[in-house]
Amino acid sequence: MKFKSNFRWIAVASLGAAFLFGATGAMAQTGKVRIAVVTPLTGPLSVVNGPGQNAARMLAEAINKGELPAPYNTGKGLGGKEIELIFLDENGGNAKQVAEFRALVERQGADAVMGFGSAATCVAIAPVAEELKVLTVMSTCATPRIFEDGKYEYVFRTTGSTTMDSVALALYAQARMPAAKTVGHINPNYALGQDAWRDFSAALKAVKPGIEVVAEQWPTPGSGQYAAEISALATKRPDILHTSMAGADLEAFFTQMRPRGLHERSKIYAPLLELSMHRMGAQIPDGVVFTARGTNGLFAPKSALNDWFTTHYQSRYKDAPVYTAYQYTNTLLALKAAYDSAAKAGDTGTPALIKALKGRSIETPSGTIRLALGNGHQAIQDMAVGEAFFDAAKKTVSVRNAMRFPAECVNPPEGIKSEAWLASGMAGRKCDGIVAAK
Amino acid sequence: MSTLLTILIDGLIYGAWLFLVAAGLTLIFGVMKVLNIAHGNLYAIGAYVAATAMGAWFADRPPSFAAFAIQLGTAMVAGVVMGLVLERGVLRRLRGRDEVSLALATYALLLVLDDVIQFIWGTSAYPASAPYGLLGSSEINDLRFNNYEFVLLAAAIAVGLLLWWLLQRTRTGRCLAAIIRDPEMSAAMGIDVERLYLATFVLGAVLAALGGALTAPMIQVAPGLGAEVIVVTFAVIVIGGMGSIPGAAVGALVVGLARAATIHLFPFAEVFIVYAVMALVLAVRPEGLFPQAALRKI
Amino acid sequence: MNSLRRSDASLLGLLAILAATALFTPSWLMSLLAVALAKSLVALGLLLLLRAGLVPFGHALYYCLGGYVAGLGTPWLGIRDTLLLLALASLLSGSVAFVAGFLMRRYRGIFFAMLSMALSMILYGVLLKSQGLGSSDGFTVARASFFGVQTAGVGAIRSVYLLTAVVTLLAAWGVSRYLATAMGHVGPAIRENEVRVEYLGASPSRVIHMEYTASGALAGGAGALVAVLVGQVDPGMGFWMTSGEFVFIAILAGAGGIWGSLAAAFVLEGIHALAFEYAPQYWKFVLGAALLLLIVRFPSGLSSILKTRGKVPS
Repeated sequence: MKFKSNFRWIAVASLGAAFLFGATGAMAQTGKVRIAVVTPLTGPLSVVNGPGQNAARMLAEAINKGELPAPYNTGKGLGGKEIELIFLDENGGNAKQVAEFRALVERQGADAVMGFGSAATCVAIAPVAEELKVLTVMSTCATPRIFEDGKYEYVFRTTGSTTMDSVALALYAQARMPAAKTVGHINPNYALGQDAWRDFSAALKAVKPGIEVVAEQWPTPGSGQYAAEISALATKRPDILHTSMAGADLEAFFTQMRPRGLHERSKIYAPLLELSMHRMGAQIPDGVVFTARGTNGLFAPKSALNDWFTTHYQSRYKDAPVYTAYQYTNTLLALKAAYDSAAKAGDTGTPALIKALKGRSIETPSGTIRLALGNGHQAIQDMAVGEAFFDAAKKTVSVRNAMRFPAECVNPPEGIKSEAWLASGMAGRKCDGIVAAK
Repeated sequence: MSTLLTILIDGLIYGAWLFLVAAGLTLIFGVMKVLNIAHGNLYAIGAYVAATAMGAWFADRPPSFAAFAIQLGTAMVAGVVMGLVLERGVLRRLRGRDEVSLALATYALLLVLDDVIQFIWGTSAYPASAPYGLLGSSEINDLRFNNYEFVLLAAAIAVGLLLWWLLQRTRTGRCLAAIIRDPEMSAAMGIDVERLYLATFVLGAVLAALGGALTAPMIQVAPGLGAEVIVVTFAVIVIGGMGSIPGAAVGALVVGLARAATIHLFPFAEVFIVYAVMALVLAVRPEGLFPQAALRKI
Repeated sequence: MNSLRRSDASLLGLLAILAATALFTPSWLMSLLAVALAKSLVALGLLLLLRAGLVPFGHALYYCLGGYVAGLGTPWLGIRDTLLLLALASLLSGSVAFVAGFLMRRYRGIFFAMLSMALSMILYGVLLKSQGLGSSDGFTVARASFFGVQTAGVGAIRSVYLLTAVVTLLAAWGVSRYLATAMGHVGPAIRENEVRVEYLGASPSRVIHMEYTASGALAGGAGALVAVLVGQVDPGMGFWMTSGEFVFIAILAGAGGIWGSLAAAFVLEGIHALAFEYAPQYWKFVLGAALLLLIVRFPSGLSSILKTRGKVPS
């Protein structure tokens, strides 16, 4: 009858677990603002989101102590209340994520949710956040699908979408490589890579009609072994080589291709290089075209806020902040602006915050971001593209030949889907004000 | 014609890498009947330890051939430590259980080790580029190849020869063959089965760690390192016949060449090719190319 | 017969309890319970194969298929009713399992496991490549709707939870009845000594084929239920680690028959949720350690189903 005793043991354990669950659920609402940060704490995406998590912690502390520079020197906390960050690991499958999200909001109570490093989670959680009526501000995930495929009241996003990357790169190629005739790519074989290539090739064909795709490679994400792909690409020699690989994959690819000179045969366009730049340091191949999902990092316009941010981040984490750090920071600053504004009117309930946040312009270390798309819920910002190189004199990675594009030049107009906009040749883009460095 | 040569070279390089990782796995399975699902983690640990050691040693020194010594040394240390801990700590308690329970125990170990790695090394990435450029490059077929990748090939051949010599020409090897046949009888004949199990597992762990250490300069050592490796390694040993070292070599070669050919000629099929080859081989030879002889109870 | 009647009564009792809890539990707990029930549904199918000594490491294939069918049923076929989608998903998964079964029934042991994993990774690759289906992002699945009545919010969760409970316990009842029949006893016989089974006139491959098909259908149903519950499907449902979870539940269930499967799913989900909550950065460690302890501690739960095969008596 061993089975019966096992069953009894299991029943007791389940009751114990139920008790544990109940215990934590009974946490009273303190006078703090609980912000849940849904972010990959483990797994391959944790490398690129780590800086974001660091920045979130740093910002939360600074807000609580009231140490932010202008225009955020409005006193401690959000609308006077202290921030409490709770981290939730964005790893383990959608079903798990959704269940955990519900548990988080219903059991522990969250006043706001931010973060989101993976597009799949964003798409899955947006409708649930709307259903649970919890203020959700996405910091990092950048698939255009969120606000183009659905209308949301409670969901915001303080970062631009991946469309910006592709359009800006295409315009850069048009301006700086008029003689280029062939293009190839090596993109990771999942949604991010597939969408990036689809968008970039559409944008490129729109501004450089007649360009020919001569090489395509779709390595498995996480594979790490690219010798064969490099051989294949080196044989075909495209003028422009696009890759949306990121993090460890990109670094492995660059490590393997640099001694083989692939970047000398083809001009590499790597939109997500910024996340790995500082780590690669002197190992970075010379002249790779990159961007930073907006005017973040090395492209950030000079401002007191940016100086404060970079100095503090550098001294605390011994590393230059990459764009994910900026993104998480921007979300917290947006929340601060909304809370302060709502607190002045005396009501910091979620509907009041939504009203304060909708359509807002927010000052950030990356410049101004405007919640101008998706009915006031989706941010757009200016874009910059440049070439990366290692400055041997200053012993740091740096950028040259940068071009700056205004937000309306690289984002679709309100109400138009990115895919359709790109297919139409980016009709209606407002590109006055492009600034090219020498 | 020149494409064929490129495919051959690429296939050999990738196959060599596969063999380095798969050799340990198939050895452990052959002798102990344990499908070590945590093998990828041992590979990852080898890579992390090598990267950390090289990072520390070369922080102020220029790259030198000492890197190879460090790789070899750290792989052995990491492999021995992990092998001892896992075999004595976990696998010994599960001696005599069926294959599937053992495999599931190693799956639990995979979960545990994933977090142990994260606990020790965090979520940062560790470069280990010191030896990568040391050997220069060669121009073959109008393409430049980094000679370090041929080091992988040399290492794979060396490991293969070492294992062959160990299993065919030494007394230990013959004892292992006896254990593979029938552990109970071997014990009855006076062979120290427990000690040989430990030695086998440690050797397998060392090989995995060596694979990781040698690969570290080619990549960034970061979380998620072992995950992709393990699936492809399974395919290789299943194709070659589980438990067979020559099988692993042939399997690695087949997969390497198939993948290289696909990448050059049909890049869109890259994601399927490994599983397609595995399914194909199993459909024709259900036990792999060089299966171990199995006894059947009537 | 008595023990069967007792089992039936217990199943009804459990159903009553689960239905009653739907009245006052918060949506997050219902969500969790529903997922646990769906996973035990898969485990019930796996139980049949496990008794025959076969461990499929790729059943996530059918789970994933069921989910995608349920998700695509609405945009592609215009079907809104959840019950119809569920039936369609189970039917399609079962059919695919039937076809695959012709290949799978020739293999045993670790090769059965690996081939099954290869098939599931092929589906994973296909889904990853299909940009139209959202690739790794997947796509949204419409909320549950029954007989023309569209549910929303908590009602959606509650209705799917109840549906899952009913379906799972119904399947458990079916499996318990099957296990009591003559054919249900062939499974352990196959594990024990396949050659003798043939000599006695039964066809092991045919039995395995049937059980494989049935387990595929059950897994497909579970996938459909989770898809409608979560509102999202993605290729991760077909990844080999998802299969690993199912196998773990099934192995943990051990000799407990249907009750083992139900209990094991709840235990695993419970441990998973607790680990997530108390150790968000190290939940894998907690889960792995707990599972290791369970494997080591409950040898009879495991080895009485999967005894060492065919050791030649010396």
